[in-house]
Amino acid sequence: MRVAGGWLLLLWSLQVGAADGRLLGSGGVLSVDGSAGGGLVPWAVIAGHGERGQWDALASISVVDTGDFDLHTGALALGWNNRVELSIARLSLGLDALVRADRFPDERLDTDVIGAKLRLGGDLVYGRAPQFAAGVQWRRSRDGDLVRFASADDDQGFDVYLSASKLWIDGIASRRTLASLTLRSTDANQLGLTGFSDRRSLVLESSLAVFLDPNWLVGIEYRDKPDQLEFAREDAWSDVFLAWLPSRHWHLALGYADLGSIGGIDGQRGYYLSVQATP
Amino acid sequence: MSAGEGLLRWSRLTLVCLLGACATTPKASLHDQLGGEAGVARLVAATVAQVHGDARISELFAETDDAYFQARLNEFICQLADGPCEYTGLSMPDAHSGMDISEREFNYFVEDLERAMDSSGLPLAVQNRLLARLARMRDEVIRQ
Repeated sequence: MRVAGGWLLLLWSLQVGAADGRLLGSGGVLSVDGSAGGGLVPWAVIAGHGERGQWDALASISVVDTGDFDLHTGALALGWNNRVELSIARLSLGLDALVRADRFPDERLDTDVIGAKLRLGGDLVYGRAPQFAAGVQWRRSRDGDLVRFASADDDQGFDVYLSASKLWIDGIASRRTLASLTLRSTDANQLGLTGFSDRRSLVLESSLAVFLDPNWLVGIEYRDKPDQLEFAREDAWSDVFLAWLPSRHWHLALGYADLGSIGGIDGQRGYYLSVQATP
Repeated sequence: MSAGEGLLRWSRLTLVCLLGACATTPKASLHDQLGGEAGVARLVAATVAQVHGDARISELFAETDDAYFQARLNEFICQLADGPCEYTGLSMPDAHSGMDISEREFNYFVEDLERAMDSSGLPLAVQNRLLARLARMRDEVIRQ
């Protein structure tokens, strides 16, 4: 998170100027894994607002706090030509409740995610077909011993996913309305925070968002997750969010997330806040 | 009548509406919502002023005959909005032939149109209805 904050300042100081080839908001925000989309779920969009011949660099930080746990994310992404997206993210889970109960050492669980996404075809806004993209995310736990201690099979793995997203300009209540569906093959437990499994799972993720006006977006997301870890059940994640896009440079999102059961403690819900900047 | 019956009756009414009975009530055309002939003329004038002032795409309109362009754009938007006009200009591919308009230049025009619609005081829902109809034509405009 500190690294992302530093990058954010560096990007800002470079003043390269945000790309402006696409409609405001059509790049979504950097999700918890670093891929552009909603807060929890990737969309088939390339990060930023660049069209052919443009590129964009973005940095974002986000925090979810449920009281028992807190999840911090810092992410950086590059979008190029409205075709390719590269991202890195650091996820950090604080297991406050387990540490307090002496059930876990006093350390955070950190996982790095390196992502690449390719727009396969279609356009989010124009044309009848949705925009399609394929992505891959390499994940590596920075706490291999701890996640093995917590019964994970491995400390690294990867996801591949296919996304389809469509924005209707004249959608619900004649507001811009975006729907997105992602099919993901993953071996990660809790996004890799609690390690990886030998078995792969196929999961479905979806979001629906409505632009109240060009600068305000409300949405809901649902991210199905595998349940492969013996010591603790894993649930689907979902959230509702309100995002404010005052410009292409700044996106802010406030949400309420339901993370289900984490580390054997059910009903993990809390607010999340995410800030994204493009120089 | 019990609450349950009331609810049932209400659902049935809603269903009848959804099935189309209510959809037949006369609705203002998009042309009316844009303010009719005068509204479209105001919007077109504001749009042309916006694109001339937009350094990103003003060059595309540098050699345009403004009077001719405004007249055709008037007809075009009027017809697109189900108004009582007929577009007499070239087809979209022919009208943009040789200009090699890029995706982003198309988008800059959309932004200028949005600003023009804002300055004309059009509600967002009406703006989006018009934009949605224009958006369908992007492939006949770009890269010609």
